[in-house]
Amino acid sequence: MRFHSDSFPKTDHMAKTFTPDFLLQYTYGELSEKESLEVEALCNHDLYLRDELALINESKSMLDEVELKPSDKTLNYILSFSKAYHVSELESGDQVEMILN
Amino acid sequence: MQLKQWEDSALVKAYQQGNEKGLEELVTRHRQRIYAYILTRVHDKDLAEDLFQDAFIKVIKTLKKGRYNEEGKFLPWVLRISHNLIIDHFRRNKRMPMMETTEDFDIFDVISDAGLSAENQIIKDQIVQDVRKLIQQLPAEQKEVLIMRHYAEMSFKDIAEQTGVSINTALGRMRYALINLRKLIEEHNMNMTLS
Repeated sequence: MRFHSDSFPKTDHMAKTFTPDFLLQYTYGELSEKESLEVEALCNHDLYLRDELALINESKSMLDEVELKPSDKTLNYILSFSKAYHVSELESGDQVEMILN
Repeated sequence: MQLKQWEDSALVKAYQQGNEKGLEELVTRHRQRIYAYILTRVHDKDLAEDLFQDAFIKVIKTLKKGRYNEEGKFLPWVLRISHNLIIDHFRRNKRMPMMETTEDFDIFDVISDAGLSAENQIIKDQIVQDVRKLIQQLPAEQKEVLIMRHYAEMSFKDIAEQTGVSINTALGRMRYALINLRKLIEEHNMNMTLS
């Protein structure tokens, strides 16, 4: 088991206490540019952190393999509706909606 | 230039000028995020499908009537429409969504990747099946945060607000979800790499 979250070291290299949550926020692009650079600098010098980051990225890539999406039936219905749906403007300025098959 | 490289605003404009491919690309580009957004709020696959469909029917009507406000961004606009439809649904039914997930609540629908060889496609299908099973085995609160962050692309701050916990709790749940996923992989001796 390569995850050691409970014994994850807290380092004072950064202005804030560095926790594993920072790695998570870094991976999901939620840190400021400055914080991201700090995380990268720390990971460059700390093999343990680098390993943790690699594991998070690996898990994230694994999740990317699965796509969460509505059924093809729903998607096809939307696209078919769009092709059939038309709006015409009358001389009066009013709009008329039409569903053409 | 391929449609995939177009900005949302350009796709919207193309669609309003009659190019149906513009809508197709917008749906493909944002379907996961919008669907996951709805699903994490209603916790019912069929209802999420209906609301997703209703949201895009509204989008189509608004765009074709020329009533889309270009000052807004497309995705936040569709998410807002989706949010309002969810609220309307629960108002009509006079009950708020339950937060728990049931054992048989299988939210994942898998697509195939035409770019892979037949052999790699089989391997990938197996990986996807395995990942789905592993996610289903996670504790409900970890699964919820994982879906909100990874698939609905909500920030940890938004997840914390939505689920009524602190941001540290949301982060912790996500971290444990990833840890548990890896534990399950190791327990089941699964190979999650595509050669």
